Amino acid sequence: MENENKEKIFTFFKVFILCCVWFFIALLFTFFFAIAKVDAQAIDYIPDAWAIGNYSCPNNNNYCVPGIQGSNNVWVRYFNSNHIFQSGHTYNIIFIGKVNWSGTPPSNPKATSYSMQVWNGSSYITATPDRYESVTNMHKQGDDYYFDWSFQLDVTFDVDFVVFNVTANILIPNLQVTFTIEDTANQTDTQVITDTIYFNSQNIINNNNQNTQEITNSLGEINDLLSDDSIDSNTGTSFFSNFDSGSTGTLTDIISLPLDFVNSLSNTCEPIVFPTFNFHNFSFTLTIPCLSSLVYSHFNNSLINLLRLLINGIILYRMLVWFVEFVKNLKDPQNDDLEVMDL
Amino acid sequence: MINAIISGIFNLILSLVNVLLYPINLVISSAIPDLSNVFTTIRQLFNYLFMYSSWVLDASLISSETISLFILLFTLKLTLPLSINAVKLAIKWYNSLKL
Repeated sequence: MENENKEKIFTFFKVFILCCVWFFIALLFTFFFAIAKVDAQAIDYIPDAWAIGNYSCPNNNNYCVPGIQGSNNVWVRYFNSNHIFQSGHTYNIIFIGKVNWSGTPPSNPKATSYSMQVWNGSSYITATPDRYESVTNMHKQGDDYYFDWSFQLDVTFDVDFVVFNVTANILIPNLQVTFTIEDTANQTDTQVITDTIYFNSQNIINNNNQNTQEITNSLGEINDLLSDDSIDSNTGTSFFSNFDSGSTGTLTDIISLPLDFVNSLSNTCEPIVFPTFNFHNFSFTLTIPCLSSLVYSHFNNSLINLLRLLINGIILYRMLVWFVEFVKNLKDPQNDDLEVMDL
Repeated sequence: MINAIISGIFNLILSLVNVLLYPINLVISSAIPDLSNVFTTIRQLFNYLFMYSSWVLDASLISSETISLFILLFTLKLTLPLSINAVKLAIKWYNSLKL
């Protein structure tokens, strides 16, 4: 009996050390390949001070841009209710667009033209940037495509709104835009805003149709489930979907910890985000992404699948061995244990 | 249907645990509130650790099917003995009634 206990303890430590080594290697891998995802931004970023409005201009129709929104171009209105572009100042403006096709991207995507209008309080005026630098070819970075437009704008009158128009050579499902605006007279006054907008109204209609179809399908499945008892589409994880271990600060908290643990296993992997670190005028947030996504992007998939098969095969085999033992014990008429008492 | 039955048994077990522990919980919360705080802290600590369990599983390359099977077996381990005992009890009552 004593030897058996010693062997169990030894096996436990062996598995524990193996796991530690595995996670140490995994963390090293993560740090080398992608931990560099550090989101940093200037402290003087003022959230909600600036906003992007799309063509529909929901809150004040008087300021909407005239014109027709095409299938591959979009108007983006950039405004600030607290500040205006001051007359006599010079602004450096960078417009960056990010597109993700989430599938097979088109070949040679381009942002073919840009234009800009400013609102002077009574009408829109087409503005001519002093310095015009444009990269029309979208450049790929990871799964995303980027294009940018940078220019310098001398403002000769007070400006309430700036409106950009971007035209692409291809239909784009969505567009994330980032503006950086810097007042050259006061370089600390840098505003950055980011938002995602739909590139065209047809795409919104398509998305709505798709959502409606999905809802219709779901309703059909629910009707089938309600009318036919032979259908049971739930998986093992769904048993814990409405799990609530009750009040806090009681012994039940401790007793139900294993259930909490099992419940947490059914969650999908999310990157670990550490608390934001602030240092003088700089802040950064460290993020550790999910390892599997990194592994699949850096290694041969067949090799990883083989490794995955080995790991999962061993675990599944052990689980099935346990299950056979469990069923054998159930057949024992003397075994009346209620397993919940072991918790 | 099977899911509904197992979920029902599972909720029954949770309720049973709550009922069994109710007097002890009452004593702890009213007479020893400091101990109650300790339980809360321990719970918060583990919940914080459990937040990262999905990341750890992902790093272990364990697939969702394996996790699903594990949870299913765990649920069976909790519910099956109770179900079988309930059936045994029902048969026992039936036999008694026959006599």
